[in-house]
Amino acid sequence: MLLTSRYALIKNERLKTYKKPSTWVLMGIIVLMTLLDLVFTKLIYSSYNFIQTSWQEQYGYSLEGYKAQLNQNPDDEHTKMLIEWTEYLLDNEIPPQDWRTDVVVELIGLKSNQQQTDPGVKFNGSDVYEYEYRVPMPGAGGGLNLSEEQRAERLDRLERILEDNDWKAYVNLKIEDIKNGYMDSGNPQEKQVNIEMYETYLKENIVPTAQNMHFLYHGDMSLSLIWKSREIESIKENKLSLLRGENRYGEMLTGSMRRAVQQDIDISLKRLATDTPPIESDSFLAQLENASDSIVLFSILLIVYSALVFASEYSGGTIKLLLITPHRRSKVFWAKIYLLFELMVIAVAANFIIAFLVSGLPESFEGIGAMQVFAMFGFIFRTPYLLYIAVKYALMLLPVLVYGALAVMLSIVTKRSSVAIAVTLMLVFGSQIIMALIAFARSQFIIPGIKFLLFSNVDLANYLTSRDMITVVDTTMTLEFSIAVLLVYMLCFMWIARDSFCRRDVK
Amino acid sequence: MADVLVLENVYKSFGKRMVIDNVSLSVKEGEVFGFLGPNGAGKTTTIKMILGLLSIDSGRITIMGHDIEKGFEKAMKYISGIVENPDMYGYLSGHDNLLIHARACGAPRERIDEVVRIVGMQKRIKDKFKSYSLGMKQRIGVAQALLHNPKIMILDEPTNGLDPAGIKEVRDLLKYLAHTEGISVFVSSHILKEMQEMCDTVCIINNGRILRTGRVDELTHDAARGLYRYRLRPMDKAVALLRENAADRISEIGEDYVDLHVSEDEIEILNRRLVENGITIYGMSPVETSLEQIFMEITGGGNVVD
Repeated sequence: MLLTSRYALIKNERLKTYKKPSTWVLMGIIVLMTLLDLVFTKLIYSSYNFIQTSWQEQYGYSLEGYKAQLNQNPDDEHTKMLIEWTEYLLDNEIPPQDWRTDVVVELIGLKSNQQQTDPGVKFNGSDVYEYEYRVPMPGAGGGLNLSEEQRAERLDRLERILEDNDWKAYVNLKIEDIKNGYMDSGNPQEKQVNIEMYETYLKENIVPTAQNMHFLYHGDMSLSLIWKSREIESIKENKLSLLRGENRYGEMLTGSMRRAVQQDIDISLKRLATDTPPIESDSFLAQLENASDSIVLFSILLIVYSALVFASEYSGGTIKLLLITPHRRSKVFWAKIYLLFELMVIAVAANFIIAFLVSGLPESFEGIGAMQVFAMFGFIFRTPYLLYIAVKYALMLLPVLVYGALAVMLSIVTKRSSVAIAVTLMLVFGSQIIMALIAFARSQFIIPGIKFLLFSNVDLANYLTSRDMITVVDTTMTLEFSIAVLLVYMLCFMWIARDSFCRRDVK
Repeated sequence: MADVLVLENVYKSFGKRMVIDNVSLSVKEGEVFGFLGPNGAGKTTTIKMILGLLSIDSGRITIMGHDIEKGFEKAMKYISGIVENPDMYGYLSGHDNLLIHARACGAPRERIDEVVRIVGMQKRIKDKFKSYSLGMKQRIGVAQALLHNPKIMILDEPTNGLDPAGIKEVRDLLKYLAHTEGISVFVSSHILKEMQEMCDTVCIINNGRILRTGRVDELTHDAARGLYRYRLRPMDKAVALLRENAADRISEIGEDYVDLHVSEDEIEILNRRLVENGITIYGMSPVETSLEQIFMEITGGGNVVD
């Protein structure tokens, strides 16, 4: 009887919801938003690929540039050398990510006998973009400090390495450099980290990729070729961060940032140990993952809808009919809440299925079984990528639930949907601006207690994707902390809403 | 007859304003109970408390012996009602609206067709609720209130906004429900004429206080005690004489009659005096007072209809 009466109330809410025109308008907009989001992403990718030229072409353009420079300045030795080596790279078909690029750059530096002053941009992670094609810096030799004799010997050795295409010899040379103190690689501990990196290449038989950004080219450089060496580099960078106590942006490593860096190392190690490459950014799964971002867009609609569900019963006068049935008010309340939840699940499922089909069908669902390694709650997980996307969806939905609960609470307490919608949306949008400011000011000062605010904790996916925790307002925060804070807020909102709904006089 | 609904010393205030001040009443099985009072007297507030929409400050309301605060779910099984307007979901059909209420009350689906037949809405039941006229909405409201075979039905101003034909329909429907189906009907109104015609018992309320309760026939009879209509000739002389000697007994002076309050003992003396003064009494009858007059008397002629 207890169950059937609850079920009867839920069935009623379902009838009311699914026969309401605005529900279908909402669903339509959500489907449309999802589709538009997918189509735009696809367009951006295809236009990006369209404007891309091959590395050979880009090298060709550079060559023209150097030659023009030489015409103006016929005695410029450096430019002459650039021409020579660019031609060499082209002739020998050495692509930009090839380790030999580093050798070539060093040779240019040695021959022009100029010390490198610009440390260059380190290539780290897949999120560094560099559209501009850069000219090799003079003396890009890695800060070597050599006598004339040593220089000649080194030139000879490098040329031999290049001739033999012997990467192991190059890695050994690098190890020697560090040991001999040729390369400025910091204190003994830091030196050890650098040596370890090179030794890993040898031990795991992994070909290094070019570290030199000067020749970096962002065309069809397949991750599958270079991900291992990147992980090895990333491990080194993170180990150095831990040693120095600051991340690569020069920020102090405090609290959970330190843990995040350590986890980052563990992720890289796990990836290497289990041979789990990252997915390509234009792959089907990557597109599916991106589609989860549209949740943020349509969550606003769900919030508005939640506010309207309760307020419309008051404004339409139907609340009276609803409450004179032989049920405790709390049952009526939970039936409505349940239906809002059901509606959200349907909306998210629609979003997911559409994204799955639209991004998957053209690629014939290629790579659907790919694995992902990620850190959560202090553990390292290796799961199918699809499961990882599901986790990400769940983390993005939790704040939507909290905001929905807030909207429901406000609409019951004030009985006005306008107030509920205005306040909630103000929080949703306002918080993003405030958070951006706080994150910006974080390095200067930490506002005490700010981590307990609702809007400090809404960006949960951040904990999964941002390996540096750069956008967390307070570095003592962790994923479990944020989830706990959100749950407490949600319970409070729900409790006030339920209490107010059950007590309130219907005037 | 058993009491279906009982209110005992009920109080309610909104802030500092006392809206319901010590209200007690009881509604018996199968009677039409009229709840009378001017607008703002506290009728809707009382009804909302009976239906559990408003909390009670102090006092007790029971429906079929179940306290509505302690045993809300049990009490609500025996009661149904329409408060203020028959508000339902405009985008749903009449049938869907009834289906929703039937489910919530645990009434079987077949009952929907029955109640639709009772209120005569078979033809339009598939149309959207918002397309109905007020009369139709009122009828769907009554149908909704009938769904779970309640013992008592609360109707707040059911004839509001209806045309005379509609009013008659509602009146006949309520009488049928009470006297044939045995459902007690608690109906509020500020239109007294209707109440007199359809109610068995009335309760008059003003400013949150109950002024009088009783059966309609008794009330009207009681009030009529001692009021007689005299038809006299010559009229002007008679009026002058009465004004001079018994001004306090005059209730009303009409074109060819005078209504006078007199006890049975006094009739003989008064009649003799009139005759002695050369006035012919050619007609004399007790006056049947209407509820309206009683109401005017009790409330001191407040805003009966506005």
